[in-house]
Amino acid sequence: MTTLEILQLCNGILALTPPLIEALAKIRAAVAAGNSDEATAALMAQIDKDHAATLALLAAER
Amino acid sequence: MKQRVVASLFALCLMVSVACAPKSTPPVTPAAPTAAGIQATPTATAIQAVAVLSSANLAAAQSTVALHKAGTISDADHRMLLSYYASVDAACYQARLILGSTQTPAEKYAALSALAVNIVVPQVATPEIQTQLAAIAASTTLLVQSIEGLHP
Repeated sequence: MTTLEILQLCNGILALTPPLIEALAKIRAAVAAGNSDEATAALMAQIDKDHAATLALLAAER
Repeated sequence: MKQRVVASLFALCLMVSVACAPKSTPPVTPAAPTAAGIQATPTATAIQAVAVLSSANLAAAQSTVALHKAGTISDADHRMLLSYYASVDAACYQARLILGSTQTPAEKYAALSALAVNIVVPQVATPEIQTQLAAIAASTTLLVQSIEGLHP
């Protein structure tokens, strides 16, 4: 490998690294946000279901 | 000589890469790891705690009704327990509405702190119900702790 080739390789790495880091950060954020929203929505639905069932049970016992 | 040039160039690459890397913005609120290893916000953690409490409360209410029908629980304990379950359910639902709102974590914390959560668990002689009441007490403690996580 000549010095010129090494320099070209380094230039390539320099050009690629920041966009790669940025893309990885975006993917990571999107995955975390997506999963969090999904899980939160499911939990809210479960709380609503529990609430409705508890109200029905208490009403039947009155 | 060539090796030294390569080593210097890679060191330079590394420094420039670190300098050029986008600065990650700190999260608005501290995050806690979930079972899936994903960072959960304090709001998501509090919603999880509400879900656990509402499930424990419903399970205890169902057991109480069944045991009352079987004659294991007195009418007085039955009435007292149902009243307690109703108050826990109301608190859970209020907490769910607050946590699901578009308020900021600080506003949610203020609203949840004002919410009356009955942490005094009634005492009954029935061991099965006592176990479920203990589960409600533990879930309530978890909820109170998770609400603290919203503290600005």
